[in-house]
Amino acid sequence: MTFGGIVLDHLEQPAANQMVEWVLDQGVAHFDVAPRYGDAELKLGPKLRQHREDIFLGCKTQARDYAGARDSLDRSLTRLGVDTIDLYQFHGLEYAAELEELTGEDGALRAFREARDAGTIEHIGLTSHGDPRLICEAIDRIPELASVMFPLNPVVMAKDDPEYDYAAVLDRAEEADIGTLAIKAFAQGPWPPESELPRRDRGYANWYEPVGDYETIRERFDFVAAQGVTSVVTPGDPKLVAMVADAATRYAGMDDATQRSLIAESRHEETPVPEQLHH
Amino acid sequence: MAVSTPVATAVDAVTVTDRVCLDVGAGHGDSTAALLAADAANVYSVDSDPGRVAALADRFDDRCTPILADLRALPLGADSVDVCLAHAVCNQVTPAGLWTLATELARVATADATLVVDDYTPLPADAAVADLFALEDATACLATGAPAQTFYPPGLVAAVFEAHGWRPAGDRVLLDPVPWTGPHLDAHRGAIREGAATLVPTLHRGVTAALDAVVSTSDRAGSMYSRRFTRRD
Repeated sequence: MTFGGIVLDHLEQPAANQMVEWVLDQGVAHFDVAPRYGDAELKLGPKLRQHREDIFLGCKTQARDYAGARDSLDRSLTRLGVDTIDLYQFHGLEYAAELEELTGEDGALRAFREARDAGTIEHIGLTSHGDPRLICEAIDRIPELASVMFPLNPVVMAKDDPEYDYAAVLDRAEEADIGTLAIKAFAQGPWPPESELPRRDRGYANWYEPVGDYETIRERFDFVAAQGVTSVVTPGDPKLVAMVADAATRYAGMDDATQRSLIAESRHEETPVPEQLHH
Repeated sequence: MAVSTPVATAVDAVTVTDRVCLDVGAGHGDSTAALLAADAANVYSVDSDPGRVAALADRFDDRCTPILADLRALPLGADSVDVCLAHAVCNQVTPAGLWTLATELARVATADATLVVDDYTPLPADAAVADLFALEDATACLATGAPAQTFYPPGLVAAVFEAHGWRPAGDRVLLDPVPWTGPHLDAHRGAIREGAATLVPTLHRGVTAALDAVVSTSDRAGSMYSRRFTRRD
Protein backbone atom coordinates (compact mmCIF):
# COMPACT_ATOMS: atom_id res chain seq x y z
CA MET A 1 0.00 0.00 0.00
CA THR A 2 1.12 3.53 -0.81
CA PHE A 3 0.17 6.45 1.40
CA GLY A 4 -1.47 9.13 -0.74
CA GLY A 5 -0.09 12.30 0.88
CA ILE A 6 -2.96 14.46 -0.35
CA VAL A 7 -4.85 13.64 2.86
CA LEU A 8 -2.34 15.70 4.83
CA ASP A 9 -3.69 18.85 3.17
CA HIS A 10 -6.98 18.24 4.99
CA LEU A 11 -5.34 17.97 8.42
CA GLU A 12 -3.81 20.52 10.80
CA GLN A 13 -0.10 19.97 11.48
CA PRO A 14 -0.47 17.94 14.73
CA ALA A 15 -3.00 15.61 13.10
CA ALA A 16 -0.82 15.36 9.98
CA ASN A 17 2.12 14.33 12.19
CA GLN A 18 -0.02 11.68 13.89
CA MET A 19 -1.23 10.40 10.54
CA VAL A 20 2.34 9.95 9.28
CA GLU A 21 3.38 8.20 12.52
CA TRP A 22 0.34 5.94 12.34
CA VAL A 23 0.90 5.06 8.69
CA LEU A 24 4.55 4.23 9.40
CA ASP A 25 3.42 2.04 12.31
CA GLN A 26 1.28 0.08 9.84
CA GLY A 27 4.46 -0.80 7.98
CA VAL A 28 3.84 1.50 5.03
CA ALA A 29 7.06 2.76 3.45
CA HIS A 30 5.93 4.38 0.20
CA PHE A 31 4.61 7.94 0.52
CA ASP A 32 3.34 9.88 -2.47
CA VAL A 33 2.86 13.64 -2.55
CA ALA A 34 2.71 16.49 -5.06
CA PRO A 35 2.95 20.28 -5.14
CA ARG A 36 -0.65 20.34 -6.39
CA TYR A 37 -1.93 18.93 -3.10
CA GLY A 38 -2.30 22.24 -1.26
CA ASP A 39 -0.01 22.25 1.78
CA ALA A 40 0.60 18.49 1.79
CA GLU A 41 4.33 18.82 1.06
CA LEU A 42 4.77 21.29 3.91
CA LYS A 43 2.74 19.18 6.33
CA LEU A 44 4.60 16.00 5.43
CA GLY A 45 7.93 17.80 5.95
CA PRO A 46 8.52 17.51 9.72
CA LYS A 47 7.83 13.80 10.04
CA LEU A 48 9.44 13.06 6.69
CA ARG A 49 12.67 14.62 7.91
CA GLN A 50 12.43 12.74 11.21
CA HIS A 51 11.90 9.38 9.46
CA ARG A 52 13.65 10.03 6.15
CA GLU A 53 15.39 6.65 6.11
CA ASP A 54 12.11 4.75 6.57
CA ILE A 55 10.22 6.48 3.80
CA PHE A 56 10.40 5.87 0.07
CA LEU A 57 9.34 9.32 -1.11
CA GLY A 58 7.41 9.89 -4.31
CA CYS A 59 6.72 13.40 -5.60
CA LYS A 60 5.58 14.86 -8.90
CA THR A 61 5.51 17.82 -11.23
CA GLN A 62 2.99 19.04 -13.75
CA ALA A 63 5.70 20.99 -15.56
CA ARG A 64 6.42 19.61 -19.01
CA ASP A 65 9.30 21.91 -19.96
CA TYR A 66 12.90 21.80 -18.77
CA ALA A 67 13.01 25.01 -16.73
CA GLY A 68 9.57 24.45 -15.23
CA ALA A 69 10.43 20.92 -14.10
CA ARG A 70 13.79 22.05 -12.66
CA ASP A 71 12.11 24.87 -10.71
CA SER A 72 9.26 22.63 -9.58
CA LEU A 73 11.71 20.05 -8.25
CA ASP A 74 13.66 22.72 -6.35
CA ARG A 75 10.47 24.07 -4.85
CA SER A 76 9.30 20.61 -3.74
CA LEU A 77 12.68 19.82 -2.17
CA THR A 78 12.50 23.12 -0.28
CA ARG A 79 8.93 22.63 0.86
CA LEU A 80 9.57 19.03 1.91
CA GLY A 81 12.87 20.06 3.50
CA VAL A 82 14.85 17.11 2.10
CA ASP A 83 17.78 16.70 -0.29
CA THR A 84 16.47 13.82 -2.35
CA ILE A 85 13.28 12.38 -3.77
CA ASP A 86 13.22 8.65 -4.39
CA LEU A 87 10.63 8.65 -7.18
CA TYR A 88 9.96 11.82 -9.16
CA GLN A 89 7.02 11.59 -11.52
CA PHE A 90 5.46 13.39 -14.45
CA HIS A 91 2.11 14.26 -12.87
CA GLY A 92 -1.18 13.70 -14.69
CA LEU A 93 -0.12 13.08 -18.28
CA GLU A 94 -3.20 13.65 -20.38
CA TYR A 95 -2.38 14.71 -23.94
CA ALA A 96 -0.05 13.40 -26.63
CA ALA A 97 1.33 16.94 -27.03
CA GLU A 98 2.49 16.84 -23.39
CA LEU A 99 4.42 13.64 -24.04
CA GLU A 100 5.99 15.31 -27.08
CA GLU A 101 6.97 18.32 -25.02
CA LEU A 102 8.36 16.52 -22.00
CA THR A 103 10.46 14.15 -24.12
CA GLY A 104 11.62 16.99 -26.42
CA GLU A 105 14.95 18.77 -26.35
CA ASP A 106 13.71 21.43 -23.97
CA GLY A 107 11.49 19.03 -22.08
CA ALA A 108 11.04 18.03 -18.46
CA LEU A 109 12.68 14.66 -19.04
CA ARG A 110 16.04 16.37 -19.54
CA ALA A 111 15.62 18.09 -16.15
CA PHE A 112 14.69 14.74 -14.59
CA ARG A 113 17.77 13.09 -16.09
CA GLU A 114 20.05 15.85 -14.85
CA ALA A 115 18.55 15.62 -11.37
CA ARG A 116 19.02 11.87 -11.41
CA ASP A 117 22.65 12.24 -12.49
CA ALA A 118 23.14 14.82 -9.73
CA GLY A 119 21.60 12.44 -7.20
CA THR A 120 18.64 14.66 -6.34
CA ILE A 121 16.16 12.09 -7.56
CA GLU A 122 16.65 8.37 -7.77
CA HIS A 123 13.90 7.03 -10.03
CA ILE A 124 11.64 8.50 -12.72
CA GLY A 125 7.93 7.74 -12.89
CA LEU A 126 4.71 8.78 -14.56
CA THR A 127 1.16 9.31 -13.31
CA SER A 128 -1.96 9.59 -15.45
CA HIS A 129 -5.66 9.02 -15.44
CA GLY A 130 -5.72 9.70 -19.15
CA ASP A 131 -5.86 7.44 -22.17
CA PRO A 132 -4.20 4.06 -21.46
CA ARG A 133 -2.77 4.03 -24.98
CA LEU A 134 -0.89 7.25 -24.19
CA ILE A 135 0.52 5.72 -21.00
CA CYS A 136 1.72 2.69 -22.97
CA GLU A 137 3.31 5.02 -25.51
CA ALA A 138 5.08 6.86 -22.68
CA ILE A 139 6.45 3.53 -21.42
CA ASP A 140 7.84 2.93 -24.89
CA ARG A 141 9.32 6.40 -25.25
CA ILE A 142 10.82 6.94 -21.78
CA PRO A 143 13.16 3.98 -21.29
CA GLU A 144 14.11 4.91 -17.73
CA LEU A 145 10.53 4.91 -16.37
CA ALA A 146 10.55 2.96 -13.10
CA SER A 147 6.82 3.12 -12.42
CA VAL A 148 3.45 4.19 -13.76
CA MET A 149 0.50 5.30 -11.60
CA PHE A 150 -2.97 4.95 -13.14
CA PRO A 151 -6.62 4.20 -12.22
CA LEU A 152 -7.73 0.64 -11.61
CA ASN A 153 -11.03 -0.60 -10.21
CA PRO A 154 -13.87 -2.92 -11.30
CA VAL A 155 -15.82 -0.06 -12.87
CA VAL A 156 -13.10 0.96 -15.33
CA MET A 157 -12.24 -2.68 -15.98
CA ALA A 158 -15.89 -3.38 -16.87
CA LYS A 159 -15.77 -0.80 -19.67
CA ASP A 160 -15.20 -2.54 -22.97
CA ASP A 161 -13.44 0.47 -24.46
CA PRO A 162 -9.76 1.11 -25.30
CA GLU A 163 -10.16 4.50 -23.59
CA TYR A 164 -10.43 2.66 -20.27
CA ASP A 165 -8.24 -0.33 -21.00
CA TYR A 166 -5.87 0.13 -18.07
CA ALA A 167 -5.40 -3.65 -18.04
CA ALA A 168 -3.33 -3.06 -21.18
CA VAL A 169 -1.11 -0.69 -19.17
CA LEU A 170 -0.71 -3.38 -16.54
CA ASP A 171 0.40 -5.86 -19.22
CA ARG A 172 2.74 -3.36 -20.87
CA ALA A 173 4.29 -2.37 -17.52
CA GLU A 174 4.82 -6.01 -16.63
CA GLU A 175 6.52 -6.57 -19.98
CA ALA A 176 8.76 -3.55 -19.37
CA ASP A 177 9.36 -4.77 -15.80
CA ILE A 178 8.32 -1.50 -14.17
CA GLY A 179 6.22 -0.78 -11.09
CA THR A 180 2.46 -0.23 -11.17
CA LEU A 181 0.72 2.03 -8.66
CA ALA A 182 -3.09 1.88 -8.65
CA ILE A 183 -5.12 5.02 -7.96
CA LYS A 184 -8.93 5.43 -7.85
CA ALA A 185 -9.25 1.91 -6.45
CA PHE A 186 -11.90 3.24 -4.08
CA ALA A 187 -13.77 5.53 -6.47
CA GLN A 188 -17.50 4.94 -6.68
CA GLY A 189 -18.27 7.61 -9.26
CA PRO A 190 -18.44 11.32 -9.87
CA TRP A 191 -20.15 13.49 -7.26
CA PRO A 192 -23.72 14.50 -8.10
CA PRO A 193 -23.90 17.91 -9.80
CA GLU A 194 -23.47 20.93 -7.48
CA SER A 195 -27.14 21.79 -8.03
CA GLU A 196 -28.09 18.53 -6.29
CA LEU A 197 -25.28 18.34 -3.78
CA PRO A 198 -23.29 21.53 -3.10
CA ARG A 199 -19.59 20.98 -2.59
CA ARG A 200 -19.85 22.07 1.06
CA ASP A 201 -22.32 19.24 1.75
CA ARG A 202 -20.10 16.45 0.44
CA GLY A 203 -19.17 13.83 3.03
CA TYR A 204 -15.65 13.22 1.74
CA ALA A 205 -12.68 15.33 0.72
CA ASN A 206 -12.12 13.33 -2.49
CA TRP A 207 -12.84 14.98 -5.82
CA TYR A 208 -14.86 11.88 -6.75
CA GLU A 209 -17.32 10.04 -4.52
CA PRO A 210 -15.49 7.18 -2.82
CA VAL A 211 -16.87 3.91 -1.51
CA GLY A 212 -17.19 4.44 2.22
CA ASP A 213 -18.11 1.23 4.03
CA TYR A 214 -15.46 -1.16 5.24
CA GLU A 215 -16.74 -4.25 3.39
CA THR A 216 -16.68 -2.47 0.04
CA ILE A 217 -13.30 -0.90 0.73
CA ARG A 218 -11.91 -4.34 1.48
CA GLU A 219 -13.48 -5.78 -1.64
CA ARG A 220 -12.04 -2.97 -3.77
CA PHE A 221 -8.58 -3.35 -2.22
CA ASP A 222 -8.62 -7.11 -2.75
CA PHE A 223 -9.80 -6.73 -6.34
CA VAL A 224 -7.18 -4.15 -7.31
CA ALA A 225 -4.33 -5.87 -5.47
CA ALA A 226 -5.34 -9.15 -7.15
CA GLN A 227 -4.70 -7.57 -10.57
CA GLY A 228 -1.02 -7.83 -9.72
CA VAL A 229 -0.19 -4.16 -9.14
CA THR A 230 2.93 -3.25 -7.19
CA SER A 231 0.94 -1.10 -4.76
CA VAL A 232 -2.52 0.39 -4.13
CA VAL A 233 -2.59 4.11 -3.29
CA THR A 234 -4.83 5.24 -0.41
CA PRO A 235 -7.67 7.63 -1.29
CA GLY A 236 -7.63 11.36 -0.51
CA ASP A 237 -9.92 11.47 2.52
CA PRO A 238 -8.34 10.95 5.98
CA LYS A 239 -11.37 8.94 7.19
CA LEU A 240 -10.65 6.16 4.70
CA VAL A 241 -6.93 5.65 5.34
CA ALA A 242 -7.31 3.39 8.38
CA MET A 243 -9.87 1.18 6.64
CA VAL A 244 -7.66 0.81 3.58
CA ALA A 245 -4.63 0.02 5.75
CA ASP A 246 -6.66 -2.64 7.53
CA ALA A 247 -7.77 -4.13 4.22
CA ALA A 248 -4.14 -4.18 3.08
CA THR A 249 -3.10 -5.99 6.26
CA ARG A 250 -5.76 -8.65 5.76
CA TYR A 251 -5.21 -9.05 2.02
CA ALA A 252 -5.17 -12.70 1.01
CA GLY A 253 -5.91 -12.50 -2.71
CA MET A 254 -9.24 -12.70 -4.52
CA ASP A 255 -10.31 -15.67 -6.61
CA ASP A 256 -11.07 -15.22 -10.31
CA ALA A 257 -14.82 -15.96 -9.99
CA THR A 258 -15.21 -13.14 -7.47
CA GLN A 259 -13.23 -10.76 -9.68
CA ARG A 260 -15.52 -11.59 -12.61
CA SER A 261 -18.53 -11.10 -10.35
CA LEU A 262 -17.45 -7.57 -9.39
CA ILE A 263 -16.83 -6.66 -13.00
CA ALA A 264 -20.17 -8.13 -14.11
CA GLU A 265 -21.89 -6.13 -11.38
CA SER A 266 -20.24 -2.89 -12.50
CA ARG A 267 -20.94 -3.58 -16.15
CA HIS A 268 -24.62 -4.06 -15.61
CA GLU A 269 -24.97 -1.16 -13.25
CA GLU A 270 -23.68 1.26 -15.82
CA THR A 271 -26.28 0.63 -18.48
CA PRO A 272 -29.90 1.23 -17.49
CA VAL A 273 -31.13 -1.35 -19.99
CA PRO A 274 -28.45 -3.96 -20.62
CA GLU A 275 -28.73 -5.80 -23.87
CA GLN A 276 -28.13 -9.19 -22.38
CA LEU A 277 -29.74 -9.95 -19.09
CA HIS A 278 -27.89 -13.04 -18.16
CA HIS A 279 -24.24 -12.86 -17.19
CA MET B 1 -4.14 -8.65 -17.24
CA ALA B 2 -7.78 -8.09 -18.16
CA VAL B 3 -10.38 -10.10 -16.27
CA SER B 4 -12.35 -12.23 -18.75
CA THR B 5 -16.13 -12.22 -18.99
CA PRO B 6 -17.88 -15.33 -17.65
CA VAL B 7 -18.55 -16.77 -21.11
CA ALA B 8 -15.01 -16.00 -22.34
CA THR B 9 -13.72 -17.78 -19.24
CA ALA B 10 -15.81 -20.84 -20.11
CA VAL B 11 -14.73 -20.78 -23.77
CA ASP B 12 -11.08 -20.34 -22.80
CA ALA B 13 -11.10 -23.83 -21.28
CA VAL B 14 -11.81 -25.61 -24.56
CA THR B 15 -10.19 -25.83 -27.99
CA VAL B 16 -12.26 -23.73 -30.35
CA THR B 17 -9.78 -22.74 -33.07
CA ASP B 18 -10.96 -23.85 -36.52
CA ARG B 19 -13.77 -25.93 -35.05
CA VAL B 20 -17.45 -25.80 -35.94
CA CYS B 21 -19.41 -24.44 -32.98
CA LEU B 22 -23.00 -24.33 -31.87
CA ASP B 23 -24.27 -21.54 -29.64
CA VAL B 24 -27.41 -22.97 -28.04
CA GLY B 25 -29.83 -20.18 -27.17
CA ALA B 26 -27.66 -17.45 -28.67
CA GLY B 27 -29.70 -14.51 -27.36
CA HIS B 28 -27.98 -11.24 -28.20
CA GLY B 29 -24.82 -13.06 -29.26
CA ASP B 30 -22.32 -12.59 -26.45
CA SER B 31 -21.52 -16.33 -26.45
CA THR B 32 -21.19 -16.34 -30.23
CA ALA B 33 -18.84 -13.35 -29.92
CA ALA B 34 -16.68 -15.27 -27.45
CA LEU B 35 -16.53 -18.31 -29.78
CA LEU B 36 -15.61 -16.14 -32.77
CA ALA B 37 -12.98 -14.31 -30.71
CA ALA B 38 -11.51 -17.74 -29.94
CA ASP B 39 -11.17 -18.32 -33.72
CA ALA B 40 -14.06 -20.72 -34.28
CA ALA B 41 -14.30 -21.83 -37.93
CA ASN B 42 -17.96 -20.90 -37.81
CA VAL B 43 -20.77 -20.70 -35.29
CA TYR B 44 -24.36 -21.89 -35.66
CA SER B 45 -26.19 -19.41 -33.41
CA VAL B 46 -29.57 -20.88 -32.60
CA ASP B 47 -32.35 -18.95 -30.92
CA SER B 48 -36.12 -19.25 -30.86
CA ASP B 49 -36.81 -15.50 -31.09
CA PRO B 50 -37.05 -14.08 -34.65
CA GLY B 51 -36.01 -10.57 -33.60
CA ARG B 52 -32.89 -11.79 -31.84
CA VAL B 53 -31.93 -14.04 -34.76
CA ALA B 54 -32.29 -11.10 -37.18
CA ALA B 55 -30.08 -8.98 -34.88
CA LEU B 56 -27.40 -11.71 -34.83
CA ALA B 57 -27.16 -11.48 -38.62
CA ASP B 58 -26.47 -7.75 -38.28
CA ARG B 59 -23.96 -8.16 -35.48
CA PHE B 60 -21.68 -10.79 -37.01
CA ASP B 61 -20.00 -11.56 -40.32
CA ASP B 62 -20.60 -14.77 -42.26
CA ARG B 63 -18.63 -16.90 -39.82
CA CYS B 64 -21.86 -16.79 -37.80
CA THR B 65 -24.94 -18.58 -39.14
CA PRO B 66 -28.01 -17.37 -37.23
CA ILE B 67 -30.71 -20.04 -37.07
CA LEU B 68 -34.29 -19.57 -35.95
CA ALA B 69 -35.29 -22.85 -34.31
CA ASP B 70 -36.60 -24.61 -31.24
CA LEU B 71 -33.53 -25.75 -29.28
CA ARG B 72 -35.14 -29.15 -28.83
CA ALA B 73 -35.38 -29.69 -32.61
CA LEU B 74 -32.17 -28.40 -34.16
CA PRO B 75 -32.19 -28.12 -37.98
CA LEU B 76 -28.64 -29.50 -38.12
CA GLY B 77 -27.40 -32.83 -39.41
CA ALA B 78 -25.91 -35.59 -37.27
CA ASP B 79 -22.16 -35.32 -36.52
CA SER B 80 -22.02 -31.69 -37.63
CA VAL B 81 -20.78 -29.75 -34.59
CA ASP B 82 -17.40 -29.91 -32.79
CA VAL B 83 -18.16 -27.57 -29.87
CA CYS B 84 -21.57 -27.06 -28.26
CA LEU B 85 -21.94 -24.11 -25.90
CA ALA B 86 -25.05 -23.82 -23.72
CA HIS B 87 -24.41 -20.65 -21.73
CA ALA B 88 -27.15 -19.75 -19.23
CA VAL B 89 -29.75 -21.59 -21.26
CA CYS B 90 -30.57 -24.84 -19.39
CA ASN B 91 -32.34 -22.76 -16.74
CA GLN B 92 -34.81 -21.74 -19.46
CA VAL B 93 -35.99 -25.28 -20.21
CA THR B 94 -38.22 -27.67 -18.28
CA PRO B 95 -36.88 -31.03 -17.04
CA ALA B 96 -38.50 -32.75 -20.05
CA GLY B 97 -37.03 -30.11 -22.34
CA LEU B 98 -33.60 -30.58 -20.79
CA TRP B 99 -33.71 -34.29 -21.62
CA THR B 100 -34.70 -33.56 -25.22
CA LEU B 101 -32.00 -30.90 -25.51
CA ALA B 102 -29.38 -33.39 -24.33
CA THR B 103 -30.62 -35.87 -26.93
CA GLU B 104 -30.39 -33.25 -29.68
CA LEU B 105 -26.90 -32.12 -28.71
CA ALA B 106 -25.72 -35.74 -28.69
CA ARG B 107 -27.19 -36.20 -32.16
CA VAL B 108 -25.55 -33.15 -33.80
CA ALA B 109 -22.17 -33.59 -32.05
CA THR B 110 -19.18 -35.18 -33.76
CA ALA B 111 -17.43 -38.17 -32.21
CA ASP B 112 -14.79 -36.02 -30.48
CA ALA B 113 -17.05 -33.05 -29.69
CA THR B 114 -16.85 -30.89 -26.61
CA LEU B 115 -19.89 -29.60 -24.72
CA VAL B 116 -19.81 -26.63 -22.37
CA VAL B 117 -22.78 -26.08 -20.05
CA ASP B 118 -22.79 -22.88 -17.99
CA ASP B 119 -25.58 -22.01 -15.61
CA TYR B 120 -26.65 -20.72 -12.24
CA THR B 121 -26.62 -22.88 -9.13
CA PRO B 122 -29.89 -23.04 -7.19
CA LEU B 123 -30.30 -19.87 -5.12
CA PRO B 124 -29.97 -20.13 -1.35
CA ALA B 125 -33.48 -20.10 0.13
CA ASP B 126 -32.68 -17.03 2.22
CA ALA B 127 -31.49 -14.92 -0.72
CA ALA B 128 -33.64 -11.83 -1.16
CA VAL B 129 -33.71 -12.39 -4.90
CA ALA B 130 -35.05 -15.94 -4.43
CA ASP B 131 -38.48 -14.50 -3.56
CA LEU B 132 -38.53 -12.52 -6.78
CA PHE B 133 -37.72 -15.62 -8.86
CA ALA B 134 -40.29 -17.65 -6.92
CA LEU B 135 -42.94 -15.07 -7.70
CA GLU B 136 -41.91 -15.05 -11.37
CA ASP B 137 -42.11 -18.84 -11.51
CA ALA B 138 -45.48 -18.91 -9.77
CA THR B 139 -46.83 -16.30 -12.18
CA ALA B 140 -45.42 -18.15 -15.20
CA CYS B 141 -46.88 -21.45 -13.95
CA LEU B 142 -50.30 -19.82 -13.58
CA ALA B 143 -50.01 -18.13 -16.98
CA THR B 144 -48.38 -20.86 -19.09
CA GLY B 145 -48.14 -24.01 -16.99
CA ALA B 146 -44.34 -23.94 -16.75
CA PRO B 147 -41.91 -22.01 -14.52
CA ALA B 148 -40.02 -19.05 -15.98
CA GLN B 149 -36.64 -20.57 -15.16
CA THR B 150 -35.20 -23.38 -13.09
CA PHE B 151 -31.74 -23.23 -11.59
CA TYR B 152 -30.94 -26.95 -11.64
CA PRO B 153 -28.23 -28.35 -9.38
CA PRO B 154 -25.12 -28.75 -11.57
CA GLY B 155 -24.94 -32.46 -10.71
CA LEU B 156 -28.44 -32.99 -12.07
CA VAL B 157 -27.63 -31.24 -15.35
CA ALA B 158 -24.43 -33.30 -15.59
CA ALA B 159 -26.37 -36.52 -15.00
CA VAL B 160 -28.78 -35.69 -17.85
CA PHE B 161 -25.92 -35.10 -20.30
CA GLU B 162 -23.94 -38.10 -19.06
CA ALA B 163 -27.02 -40.24 -19.76
CA HIS B 164 -26.61 -39.17 -23.40
CA GLY B 165 -23.01 -40.25 -23.78
CA TRP B 166 -21.20 -37.10 -22.61
CA ARG B 167 -18.31 -37.68 -20.21
CA PRO B 168 -17.27 -35.03 -17.64
CA ALA B 169 -14.07 -33.21 -18.70
CA GLY B 170 -13.66 -30.44 -16.15
CA ASP B 171 -15.37 -27.51 -14.50
CA ARG B 172 -14.88 -23.88 -13.53
CA VAL B 173 -16.63 -21.34 -11.34
CA LEU B 174 -17.58 -18.43 -13.57
CA LEU B 175 -19.18 -16.11 -11.00
CA ASP B 176 -19.24 -16.24 -7.23
CA PRO B 177 -21.42 -14.58 -6.12
CA VAL B 178 -23.76 -13.79 -8.99
CA PRO B 179 -24.51 -10.05 -9.06
CA TRP B 180 -28.25 -9.59 -9.59
CA THR B 181 -28.21 -5.90 -10.42
CA GLY B 182 -31.02 -3.36 -10.72
CA PRO B 183 -31.49 -3.88 -14.47
CA HIS B 184 -31.69 -7.68 -14.00
CA LEU B 185 -34.30 -7.33 -11.31
CA ASP B 186 -36.26 -4.76 -13.33
CA ALA B 187 -36.39 -7.18 -16.27
CA HIS B 188 -37.72 -9.96 -14.03
CA ARG B 189 -40.24 -7.59 -12.45
CA GLY B 190 -41.34 -6.64 -15.96
CA ALA B 191 -41.82 -10.31 -16.83
CA ILE B 192 -43.90 -10.81 -13.69
CA ARG B 193 -46.12 -7.83 -14.57
CA GLU B 194 -46.57 -9.12 -18.12
CA GLY B 195 -47.47 -12.60 -16.90
CA ALA B 196 -49.80 -11.24 -14.24
CA ALA B 197 -51.68 -9.18 -16.82
CA THR B 198 -52.80 -12.41 -18.52
CA LEU B 199 -54.30 -13.84 -15.32
CA VAL B 200 -57.83 -13.53 -13.97
CA PRO B 201 -58.34 -10.27 -12.00
CA THR B 202 -58.02 -11.77 -8.51
CA LEU B 203 -54.74 -13.51 -9.35
CA HIS B 204 -53.50 -10.42 -11.21
CA ARG B 205 -54.12 -8.31 -8.10
CA GLY B 206 -52.51 -10.92 -5.85
CA VAL B 207 -49.33 -11.13 -7.94
CA THR B 208 -49.09 -7.34 -8.23
CA ALA B 209 -49.46 -6.96 -4.46
CA ALA B 210 -46.82 -9.63 -3.88
CA LEU B 211 -44.47 -7.86 -6.30
CA ASP B 212 -44.45 -4.82 -4.01
CA ALA B 213 -43.20 -7.01 -1.17
CA VAL B 214 -40.20 -8.61 -2.91
CA VAL B 215 -36.71 -7.23 -3.43
CA SER B 216 -36.36 -4.36 -5.84
CA THR B 217 -32.74 -3.41 -5.31
CA SER B 218 -29.67 -5.40 -6.22
CA ASP B 219 -28.56 -8.63 -4.56
CA ARG B 220 -25.62 -11.01 -4.67
CA ALA B 221 -26.53 -14.66 -4.43
CA GLY B 222 -25.62 -18.09 -5.76
CA SER B 223 -22.89 -18.82 -8.24
CA MET B 224 -22.50 -19.57 -11.93
CA TYR B 225 -20.70 -22.74 -12.96
CA SER B 226 -19.21 -24.06 -16.17
CA ARG B 227 -19.02 -27.80 -16.84
CA ARG B 228 -17.22 -29.36 -19.77
CA PHE B 229 -18.04 -32.71 -21.36
CA THR B 230 -16.53 -34.79 -24.15
CA ARG B 231 -17.82 -37.55 -26.42
CA ARG B 232 -14.36 -39.09 -26.64
CA ASP B 233 -13.63 -42.36 -24.86
